[in-house]
This record gives sequence, C-alpha cells and structure tokens, in this order.
Amino acid sequence: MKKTFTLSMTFLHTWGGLVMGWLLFGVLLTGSIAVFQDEINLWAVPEIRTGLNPDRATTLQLGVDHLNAQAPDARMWRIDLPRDRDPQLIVAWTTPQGKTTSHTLDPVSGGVIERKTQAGAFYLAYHYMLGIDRNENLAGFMIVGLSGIFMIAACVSGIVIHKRIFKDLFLFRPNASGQRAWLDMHNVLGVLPLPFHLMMAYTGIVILYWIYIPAAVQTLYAGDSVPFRAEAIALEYRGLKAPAGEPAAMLPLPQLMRAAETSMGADKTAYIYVRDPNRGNAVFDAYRDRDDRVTQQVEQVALDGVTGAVLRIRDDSAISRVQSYIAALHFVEWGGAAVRWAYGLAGMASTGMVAAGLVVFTEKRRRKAGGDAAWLTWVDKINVAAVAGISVACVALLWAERLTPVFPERAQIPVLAFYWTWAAMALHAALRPPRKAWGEQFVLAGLLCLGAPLLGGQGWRHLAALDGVRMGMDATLIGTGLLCLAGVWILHRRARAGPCQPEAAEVEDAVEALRCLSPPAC
Amino acid sequence: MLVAASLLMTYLACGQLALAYARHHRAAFGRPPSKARARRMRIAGGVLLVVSPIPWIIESGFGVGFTTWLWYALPCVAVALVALLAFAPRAAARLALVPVPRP
Repeated sequence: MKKTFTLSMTFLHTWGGLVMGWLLFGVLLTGSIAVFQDEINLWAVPEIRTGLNPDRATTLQLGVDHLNAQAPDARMWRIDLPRDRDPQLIVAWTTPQGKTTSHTLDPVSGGVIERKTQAGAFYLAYHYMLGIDRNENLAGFMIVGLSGIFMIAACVSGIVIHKRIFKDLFLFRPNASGQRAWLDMHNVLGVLPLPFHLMMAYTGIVILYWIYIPAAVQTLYAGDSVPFRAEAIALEYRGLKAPAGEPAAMLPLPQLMRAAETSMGADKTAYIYVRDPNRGNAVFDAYRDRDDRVTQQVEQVALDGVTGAVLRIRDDSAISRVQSYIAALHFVEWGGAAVRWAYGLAGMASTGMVAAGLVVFTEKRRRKAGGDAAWLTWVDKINVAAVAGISVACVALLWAERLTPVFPERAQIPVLAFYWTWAAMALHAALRPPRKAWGEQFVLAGLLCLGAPLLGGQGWRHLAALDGVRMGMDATLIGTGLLCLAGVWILHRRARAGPCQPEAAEVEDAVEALRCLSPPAC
Repeated sequence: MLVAASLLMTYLACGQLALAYARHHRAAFGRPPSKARARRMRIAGGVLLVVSPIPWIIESGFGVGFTTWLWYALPCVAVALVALLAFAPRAAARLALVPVPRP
C-alpha cells in the first residue's frame, strides 16, 4: 500500500493498466470485431448467396435429406436454419463414436459449399479464450477472466484518481501537448462510455461464472462440471448416454417444427437438434431465435420424434433468467443492425481507451526521464506489438481468407496467418525505433484494409450485385484503412512540427489543478 | 425513424449539457455562458436526456429499447459529440440547437 488511498489506486491503475492493457487491447479489439462475425463469414465465403429468403420448411427438408444421405445412423443431427444475417443452411452430425462433422449448404439448391471459414469464429474465440481450445485446457478462459476482473478494478481506480471527472467530462484537446492530448483521449473514451465498460467487463465474467467461481460446482457436483452444465444449460436432451432405440420412422421434421412453433412463435426456430434420428427414441429439440429479446437462454421445445408428443417446454428459474439477461447484454444477438453498430463502436471506444492509456504511460515517463530510458523503449516496443501488431494481424486474417484456395484444412490457414503476422509485427517492433514502428505498422494495417476488398475482384462483384452486407463490410474496411492512414499522417505532421507549446487553456487547467491541491481553495 | 429521433434527442441533450460548461461555450461562441443561460441549458439537457430513450422504447419495447439506448447508444453519441466539440465546436453547438448568445 502507498501512503494514501489515492496513491494506491494510482499505482494499481498505472502498473496494472500497463500489464493487463497489453492483453486487454487484443481481447477488446477482437470482441468488437466479433460483433459482426456473421457478416465477416459472409464476406469470407463468396459462394453463400444472399437475398434468397427461401421457404423455411423446404429448406429444413433439404437439410434432412442431406443428413439422411450422409449420416442416417448418426446419434445426433443439428440443423441451423438460414436467417437474414446468416443466409446459409448448416447441418452437422455426430457419429456413435462421437465424431462431429458439419456441412454448409446452399439453402435453395442444397448443394454443399466446400469453402470452410473460421474468420468470424476466430475473432470470437480469441476474444473469450485467446484462441486456446477450451476442450484442451481452460487457460484462455482464466486469463481473459482475470483481465475482465482487472478491467473492473481499473475502471473503479480510474474514477478514484480522476479528480476532475465531471469538469472534464466532454474535454478532448487534440492540439494540446503530446501527453495531454493522449490523456484527454484516454479520459474521454474511458469516462463517457464508463457504464458500457463496467457492464461489458462484468457481463463477460458472469457468462462463465462457474469457471471463475468454481466452489459451488466443486462442492455440489464433486468437481465434475459436465453434469452441472447439463442441468444448468438444460442439455439433457442432447445427452448420448442412453442407448439408441430400434429403427422407426420419424414424423416429417417440418411438421415437428411447426408444432414447436405453436409455443415459440411462427418462423422463430433458429436451430434444431435431433437425438437418435430414425429411431424409436428420437427426440426433436427446437431452439428459438434470440433476435427480438434480451436473453441468452432462449425458449426450447422438445418433442417426441416419432409421435410428436411434447416432452418438455423449457422453463428457466428466475435466477437463470437474470443470468441469461446479463449474458445477453454481452452477446448482443438482439436488436438488429443499429444495436450491433452501437455495440461495435462502443467496443472500439474501449479499445481506444486502452491504447491511449498505454501511450500515456510511456509519454509521461519519457518526459520525466528526460530521454529514452532503455526499459521505457522496450515498454513502447511491446505497446507497438500489442496494439498495432495485433491490428495488422486481424486484417491479415481476412487477406488469408481471401487468398487461401479451397481444400479440406483451409480453415486453419487464416488462423496461422494471424499468429505468424503478429509474430512478424512483434519482431518488427523489436528491431525498429518505436516511433517509426508505430507509424509503419499502422500504415501497413491501413493499406491491408484498403486492399482487402479488391482481392480477387470481389469488391467489384459486390458492387455489381448490390450485395448490401458484403458492400457494408467492404466500406467498413475502406473506412478503417483511411482512418489508420489519416491517424498516422496527423501524428507524423505533429511530430515534424516539434513539441507543442501548451495552450493558454492548458496553462489555466494546470493552475486550477494546483489550486485544487490546497483544500480551502477548491 | 423513432430510433433516429431517439439518437437525435440524445445528441441534443448531451450538446446542451456540454455547452453549459464555460470551456466548451467559449470554444463555440467566444465567451462563457451567463449563469442563467448555463442553468437553462443544464435543465434543458437534463430533461432531454430523460425523454430521449422514449422513442426507442416505443419502437423496440422497454427491454430492448432502454437497454440499447443506455448501454450502447448513449456512449456512442457522447463520444461523437466530444469529437465534434474538439474539431468543430461551432458546428457542434449548431447541431445541438444552442442559440448564439445575445451580446
């Protein structure tokens, strides 16, 4: 502990912010991008046709026909029906040996789309588990959870140490001297969306509460989280422990879907599980779409696959509904495009806040040290790799999606491209002076963003076909690229102009801040 | 349409509240606001801030409408206003429908 509470909070905010900021920037950036994961997947797979609006029953039957042809003896089928955001039909099956395979189909022709992508899913996986497979270990979950807890601590300590929080609520002085401008940016992006930052960090932790606070599960379920999840997430109808029944004819799945929709609402089925299809104990399980309500654990109707009798309509406890609401605030699968954009931009504000905070750390200490101390140079190099490097890597993943030809393991190539690009950027940051490395990496990110829509002439095709979603993705990439280049240009121009003289208003602020230090005057 | 109205009202509210600060008023109009003017702007901004989620709630229901406005739209509008205040304070004031003070 330091001498005073404020000094202790400053220490926590400063040093914790530096170390966790390196991690948080990537987590927040990929999370903000992952808001548009369906749109990114659509952009990455040109074979998916948009604007078809196929009849849902016909599309479901296409999926069933495909599954009957591919895996009539599977233990489990899953069918994801096409939606406005994600107009593809996805079918998956699990064999009696436990191997799961999925195919993406055209929702009208039923033809298999060979190109597999992980573009959107990878951003999401990095966001909540740093891309570490949760089936192998929970390290990714734990590290991201720790950074979420720290983010809450940083928000609270930031409020404590920011004495003029209301006075400077709307204050941003881009032309002030270097450190002041970055500090203003850090404050503005931290304070105005503060409820958002707190909400995001908290809801992110609540989603996986049973991992971060495992005591109850350890005690009640003897340390085994599988039965807990089966009970809490209501997966019992997906369990495969019971033996498969004798062969039997199921009712047509479109008929079962209509029956399920009598309680869920017409055309509201998002995806379907069928346990033990074509068997006497077949169970048809329909899950409702989440697009019109703030909840993560949606209505679920289980029907007997042979007789059509209602086996269960999901009814969550009040506690479960609260947890589900909190989780839904984080996943934001509801509310449409306006909400997603607001959410994505607010997420980018969080990202910008972390980046500005990292810059403030080095600028402030550089000024104090009166030159470039060696350790500070290395902190700045890590800043470059953690901020600019991962930004370049995120765009490189999209380039790799475009450039990788179709072959069975292609989905892994863009992921490898992400990590290799990030490693290359870290090496570049280590070898170049930090000030130059910042600019060079953001110029590269900008150029990659501008070039991505042009790859393979896809951008022109999107324009010619007036493909709104993909054109939106292209426009976002171009806008991001121009922002990166403009940012570098502005900073380069300021660096050439030399150190700024403090503005009159800045001097006034400094005087006022000093006055505030003596209690009677403030 | 109602969502746009809600966003516009949020901007007006934040604009009135921001321009009640002497610094921002000075940047937009060359001088700080009188005490009475600052108080009027704060009251107007506060009232507008309270009513601005209503159109969104009418459009999407209380759950989706208020949640979206509070957690996502309000921070985005406020950050946009700050950017505008920093680079074009006069335009920010005009957009917030803050009248030019009488000499």
